[in-house]
Amino acid sequence: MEQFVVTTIRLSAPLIFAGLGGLFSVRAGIFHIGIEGLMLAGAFATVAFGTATGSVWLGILGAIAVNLILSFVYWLLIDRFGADMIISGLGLTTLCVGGAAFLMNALFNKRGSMTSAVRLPQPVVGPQEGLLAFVSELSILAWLLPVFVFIVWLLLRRSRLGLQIAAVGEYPYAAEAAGVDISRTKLIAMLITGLCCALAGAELSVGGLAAFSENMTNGRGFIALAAILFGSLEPIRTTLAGLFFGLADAVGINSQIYAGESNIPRQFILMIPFIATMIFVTLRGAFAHRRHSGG
Amino acid sequence: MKIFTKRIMRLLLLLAVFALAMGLGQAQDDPVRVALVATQAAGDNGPIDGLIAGLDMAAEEYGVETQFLEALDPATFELTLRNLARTGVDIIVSTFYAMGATSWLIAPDFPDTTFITIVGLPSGDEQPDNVQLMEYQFFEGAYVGGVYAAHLTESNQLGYTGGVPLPFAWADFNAFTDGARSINPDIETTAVFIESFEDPVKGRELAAGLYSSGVDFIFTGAAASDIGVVEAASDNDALVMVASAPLVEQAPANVAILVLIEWEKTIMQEIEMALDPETRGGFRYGNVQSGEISFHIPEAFLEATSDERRAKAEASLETIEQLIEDITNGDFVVEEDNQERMAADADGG
Repeated sequence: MEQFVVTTIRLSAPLIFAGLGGLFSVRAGIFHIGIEGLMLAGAFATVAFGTATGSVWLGILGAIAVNLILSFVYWLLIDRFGADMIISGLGLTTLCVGGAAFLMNALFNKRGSMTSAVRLPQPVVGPQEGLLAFVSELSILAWLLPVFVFIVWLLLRRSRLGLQIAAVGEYPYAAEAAGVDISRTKLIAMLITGLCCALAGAELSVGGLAAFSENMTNGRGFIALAAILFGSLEPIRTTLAGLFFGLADAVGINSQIYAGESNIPRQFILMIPFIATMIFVTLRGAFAHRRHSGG
Repeated sequence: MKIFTKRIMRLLLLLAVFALAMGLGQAQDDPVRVALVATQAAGDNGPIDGLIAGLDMAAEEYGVETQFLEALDPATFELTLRNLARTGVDIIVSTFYAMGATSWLIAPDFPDTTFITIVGLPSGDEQPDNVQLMEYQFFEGAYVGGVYAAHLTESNQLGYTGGVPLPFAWADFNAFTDGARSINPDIETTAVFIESFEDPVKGRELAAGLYSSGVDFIFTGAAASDIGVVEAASDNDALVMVASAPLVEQAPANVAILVLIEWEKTIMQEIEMALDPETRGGFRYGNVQSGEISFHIPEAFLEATSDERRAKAEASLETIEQLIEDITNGDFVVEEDNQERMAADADGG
């Protein structure tokens, strides 16, 4: 049970960081398909800067810097040059996938994968008794997740910036009439997305692991985007959706381990996370429909 | 004027003969051209890097002219092979099953080109003469790994982390189980699949789950996902068997055995066969017997691990060496079983 909880948190953490980061852009009216690429860039930059400097914190700072630059470029493309946000987002992801592979080879003479010289501290490690067993081997970033969720909630729901972002996304003309600088607000939202994706990438590469490999995000950026949509663009619901996806993955992992040599076909066991997701989506849709019908 | 024309004609004739002679001479001196077409990117610390190294060795050994290409999109496989054959490449070496089927399809159009596929299976009744296929019997290595794991395990619980549940993965897992149970019939084994060959994050979680369930030795065969499995072994002070040498550096105290496919040796042998009309074409297996699957207990492991584990590893050496010798001599045959075993089958065997 303890291992199941730890697995769920570890698999959810990158999704929640990226999902909550992406929420800023999506609420500002930018369907940020480049989250996948920004996560990968964050994962690589953390390992690269961390290995070069010998400090995981400098690694994360480097990753944040890289993602802020990439986010700024993405903003330039769609806001200043009028590029299509979906196509540019895909381009951003492709650039990050290729760029990480290229730089890994050029800077570290490694291809495919590389190990990291640094790793995020884990406040509790090894076998534990009682409640501590539920948080053993979680990185410091995973520990800080509740604080992070609270800050995001505060920013989006209780701050002037959050209201401006929502206004720009939902009623851009009204926001403009009220004196909100739409371009500037979008830029801030996208920079926050970049920052959060850097944390998501860092959690992936130096949270549980101490390594980077090409395509290691493996679609998690898109899952984070799905979590935003399932969470109805709300921070707490997005967090819960991220937790659900992590939980579904953890169920898949544990059902494989504990099904053992049973007579349940392997294909069925591997389908469990997808079946759980479909049930979740259906139930959520049904409840939303009922609530809507009920007025 | 007539004399002048005659002289010009003679000169032209002379030049033509000279050019022809030069041309023929060049044709005779032209080195054999060999192209390696990989269906996954270089830099994998595995098959492709091994094959590239072997290609370079072949260039030196046989004096062939080599080139390397990546064809990562299956939609481009046929076009890539056809274009290479049209440009006069003599031997085209490609990788993995889908390329084998494509080679089989287009080979009759280019009878002078030899199409080699490393890890490919016949895809019809009549194999074209210019198609050369091979497949590894890695499960033999898995069996030996299982025997070794049985010597080192304390919990009598072993695990396997694979990429996706394909027949070869089941063959490896079943052979690993059989090898371990040949030493201790009470050993229990569990197979899990990462469902990706490039997701070290999930690989780590699966391996961590296995270790926390009591498994203390994992055999991993999931390519780039293996990094995560080795990381979990290091975190849990557990053991792992891998198929990629660079992983030893990551956790020297935990990578207890390397079972390697000798890709360099395979491509050298395939090119040598293709160069000789007597041995060109056909299908063969690469295995322990052919020397294309090898075993290494890393020195780094023996240095970094505990005294107890070192003693167990060293005590197993005699059994392992005898087993390898028996397999090599054909005195012992590892059975291939590439189906998932249900509980009833597993109890029986």
